[in-house]
Amino acid sequence: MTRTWHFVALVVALGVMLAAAAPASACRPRTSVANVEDEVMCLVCGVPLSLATDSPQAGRERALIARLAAACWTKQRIKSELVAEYGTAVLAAPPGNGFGASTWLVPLGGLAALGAGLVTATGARRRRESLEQRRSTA
Amino acid sequence: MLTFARACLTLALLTAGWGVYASMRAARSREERWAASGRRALYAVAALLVTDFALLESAFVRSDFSVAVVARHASTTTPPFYRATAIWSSQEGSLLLWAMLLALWSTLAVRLAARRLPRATPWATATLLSVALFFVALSVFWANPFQLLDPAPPEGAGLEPLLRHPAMMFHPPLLYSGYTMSIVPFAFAVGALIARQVDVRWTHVVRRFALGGWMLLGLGMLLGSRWSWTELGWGGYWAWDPVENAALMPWLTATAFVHSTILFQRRGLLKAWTVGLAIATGVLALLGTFLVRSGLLTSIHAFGASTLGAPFVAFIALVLVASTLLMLARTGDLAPEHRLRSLWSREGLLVANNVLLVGLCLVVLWGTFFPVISEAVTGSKASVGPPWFERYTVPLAIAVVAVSGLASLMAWQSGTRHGTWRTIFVPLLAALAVTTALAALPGVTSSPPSLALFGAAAFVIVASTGQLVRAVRTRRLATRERTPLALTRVIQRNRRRYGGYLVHVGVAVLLIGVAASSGFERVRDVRLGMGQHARVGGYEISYRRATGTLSREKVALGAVLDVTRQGHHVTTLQPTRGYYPNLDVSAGPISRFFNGESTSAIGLRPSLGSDLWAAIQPDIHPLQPLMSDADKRFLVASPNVQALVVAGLVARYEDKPPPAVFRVIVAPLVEWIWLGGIVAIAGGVIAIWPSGLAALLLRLPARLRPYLRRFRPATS
Repeated sequence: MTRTWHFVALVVALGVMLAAAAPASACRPRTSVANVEDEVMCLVCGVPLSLATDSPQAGRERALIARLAAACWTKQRIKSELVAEYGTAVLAAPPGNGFGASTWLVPLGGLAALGAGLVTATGARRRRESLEQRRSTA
Repeated sequence: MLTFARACLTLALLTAGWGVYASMRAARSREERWAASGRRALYAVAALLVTDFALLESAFVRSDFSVAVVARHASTTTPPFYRATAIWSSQEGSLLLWAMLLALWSTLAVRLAARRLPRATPWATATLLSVALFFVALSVFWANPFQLLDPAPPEGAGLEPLLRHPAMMFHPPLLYSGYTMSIVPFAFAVGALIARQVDVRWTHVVRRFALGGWMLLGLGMLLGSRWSWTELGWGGYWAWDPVENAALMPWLTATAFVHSTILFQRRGLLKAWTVGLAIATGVLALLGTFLVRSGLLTSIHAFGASTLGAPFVAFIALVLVASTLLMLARTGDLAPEHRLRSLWSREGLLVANNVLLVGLCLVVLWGTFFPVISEAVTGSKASVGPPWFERYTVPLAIAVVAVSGLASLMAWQSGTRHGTWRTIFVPLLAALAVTTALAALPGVTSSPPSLALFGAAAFVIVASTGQLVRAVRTRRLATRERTPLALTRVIQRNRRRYGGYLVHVGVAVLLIGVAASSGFERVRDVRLGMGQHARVGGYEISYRRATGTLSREKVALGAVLDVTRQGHHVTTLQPTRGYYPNLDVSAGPISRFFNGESTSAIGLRPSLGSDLWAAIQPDIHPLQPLMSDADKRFLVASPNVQALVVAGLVARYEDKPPPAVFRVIVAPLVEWIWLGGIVAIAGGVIAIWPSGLAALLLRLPARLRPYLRRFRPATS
């Protein structure tokens, strides 16, 4: 019985050692440089990273993204890391808080106002005309 | 030559000023002689600017480096084709081109309009000349293209490597033509307001200019996108860059204007809105021109920071404020003659589409300027890139496509429910069938916006072609003509309508290409050594061998990639990276050939199904010890010897290439974008084609006879 338990312990220990020795890239990458670079900016060039083919800053950002993607980080986690490294200006869309929220709210408000104006104007005219018609027949 | 050219430019400035005065005097006094003087001033400005442009172009072609702008943008090693186009790669040359094109289009517009709008045309002429005056003043005082360099350098700096592409010949002139043609409706809207002639007549005069500006802006953007896809190394065709948006915004309002004039002319609706759109398009054209050269917003397209920002801002602000005050002052004249009765009618849906297009323009405007606004308010510049723009523009684009298709099927005023259902049934069925069939394909549902756009596009294509088919069938029943003749006659009798349907079809096909390529493309970055391979999107890419070439212009290092699918050879791609010499000799006599500007030449296999695209980033680090050694050994060697050394390094790379990084893209239906664009432009040409043009051309010799008689020798 003791020999059996020793054998099991040995197998488990071997298994743990093999798992620990397995290369980090045994994980399946969940994103890629190409997937992330459309959503981040090259800080020095001021253009989306996908457009900045030659800049050294762009090279540094891409190298960081490539390293984190190879370590199977998700896109969101990589972007958070980039923000921690370079600040929110590295994102290609402003954050949804503070003044950055206005990027999202102003267009929505504007479109809603345009649509409401159109519907209201058409409805108001129809109500006015219907009222005028009733008055003229009365 | 320079003295004469500067004199012409100064004379153009003074003549434009005189023309503004004469036209305004004509407008107030209604005296034809002042109006004629104003018009002649405009023609003279056009002639002077054409002369100046020709002189500057000849300086570029001859590589006359005594002209400062030529020395900065051309060189003896620049191929002749690119030397000719280098004129508009410079701030000075592009401003001159802009002013010249404005003067030419204005000349045509004023000649056509003078008799049809006798009260509004002098005001429009004054407005056009005021804009021309501004641009000529920029050339004279801020960005003079005829500055002398004394002594003249023996060699120029050369053309920016990224601009060495055949599209460079057409892309800027097309965009500038689009911008300048958009100023014509603006000027006549202003003229109609001041003269209190805001009935439909001014829209008839400017319709073709608005449509022409729309077409040329669209063609310019299409060409630029194609250039980006086929030439640049980033693997895309639209980046929501500020300069790209600068052309898109007036294009959107011009689209709205073209549709608005239909409602105004046919139904007397949207009078104020139509005037407002013409003014907005003109202001946005000026704004777009400003964005490219102000340095206000970071862009890969821009000329860079300059001193032109302040005068441009002042001029645009003046134009905007004056136009707004004018519209407010003429509120009474802008009161609508008729009212929209129902949203569920062709009128109602066209109005809704107008609102969507203007909404789209406002979204793009807000996103483009938000970095500047955020810096002004918070002190730090926020970034707004593709993810933000796509969040808004994709649903709006789907709505625009769907509503435009629906509008073309609806009856004018209010249709019956049964009639409406009958007309939309087949296109709706087609849209549902396409959406369902595509949704069944693997992976398609991963991009719901793309699927929605496919359905909306199918609706538009079936709706538009259905209208044409019905019209041809009706004509054939009545006349017994064969189908091709019946089709020609149907289109000839109503070019505007059927040209418009063709535009709708073209835009729908273009958006199918955009939806497919952006929703379903496969991108992979791989590091491959020679003989290695990788899989991308169902294709196997194998790195066969390295390539290296040396020319007068550059060193190009690349690769030959074999592409197979399921064991069958598909194509061979040959991406390269070009290295232009660094003009700074302290960078090393040999190293400078590898550490100057570099550009990518793409390996591309286009097809109607999917494009295969590859770019290479060679690893030249292993060559650097050899370069550093050669820099020391050949420091004082002759250029021929240095060239031999560089050739040796290139051969070394070819022989023993280190692994290189490749970006490989498989993008479905990209070619549909260009095809759809061409179809849309063709539709625009049909819509713009003047009726009776062929008859006019045949009559022309008879009309010229009285003039030709003067040159006949006298007979004894």
